Amino acid sequence: MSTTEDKTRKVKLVTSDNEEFEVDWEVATRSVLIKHMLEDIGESEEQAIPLPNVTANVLKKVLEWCEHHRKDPEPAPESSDDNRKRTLEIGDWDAKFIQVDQEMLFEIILAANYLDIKALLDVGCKTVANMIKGKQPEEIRKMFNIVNDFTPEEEAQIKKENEWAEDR
Amino acid sequence: MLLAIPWDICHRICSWLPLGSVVSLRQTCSQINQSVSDDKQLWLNLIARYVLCHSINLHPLRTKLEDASAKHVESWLRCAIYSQRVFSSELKPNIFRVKLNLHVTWLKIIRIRWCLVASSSPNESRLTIWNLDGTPSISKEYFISGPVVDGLVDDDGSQIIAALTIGAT
Repeated sequence: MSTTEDKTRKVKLVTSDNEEFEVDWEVATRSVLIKHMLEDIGESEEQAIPLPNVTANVLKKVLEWCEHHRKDPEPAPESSDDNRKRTLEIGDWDAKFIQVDQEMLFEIILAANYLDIKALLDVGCKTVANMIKGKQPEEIRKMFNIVNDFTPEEEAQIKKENEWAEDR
Repeated sequence: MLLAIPWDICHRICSWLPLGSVVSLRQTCSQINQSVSDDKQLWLNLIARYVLCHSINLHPLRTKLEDASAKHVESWLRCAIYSQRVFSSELKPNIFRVKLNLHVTWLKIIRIRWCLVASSSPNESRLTIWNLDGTPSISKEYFISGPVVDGLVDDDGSQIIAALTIGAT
């Protein structure tokens, strides 16, 4: 597969609700899953790629991200020692892009996970992390509609067990 | 919605959170608490972020990594953070005055938890094991004839063997 051909090549994607999207090869292959599928199909086929786990409104949003990031360099493979330089900051464009309701946010995260788009998955995860950070358990419950199923005794016990880490 | 997504995604979210937020999150409900408690890799990541990159030592007698459960790894982190807190705060030492008829001739601290003390006169020795967990207290005491002049402790992680040298009178 030569790169000159790749630039002009179009890729057809079909969502779970049967909507078809035609996008540039460069945009579609931000997704490692799609990239591998295309490699498996070979370039001769004009075959549409089915994405049974993604709906059209979510894919539209994901493709918007891929379009903007089409020229980004390949992400470095995940290494265990990148712990140190991790920050919760999100780029300006990404921060605006991810200003969606909570349902869409999790849909994007699930789609990015399924499509294997690590950079987008990180944007989503960091956004959720920012929502959790600095909040008390009760505030987190409220934010994500989590039902407190602890008895008052259990709750007091678990609070005590976690005191050592609270101020970290 | 947070509960509906697979745990490996929550694990990723947690990898961006400070320790304080991870423990706040686990206090929200039993399902999340269980998942956090069982996630060994999450605790190893937290150790890398909070302990290893600050050059703090882990407990030297910990279980082997491959045998350790998530609970073990969490306890290593807790232990490291406790000891760092003690070292970095200017705590005044606790002084306990004990009246002894005999002179202390040998002393050994074991696993930061017990203190073996031999106090001897030329004819007899008293060997006490102090429990240092919380307020120090004597948990066992033995009497030996002859003075203890030296001792050795061997600790292989599963058992502790102490050998004493008794001096001739």
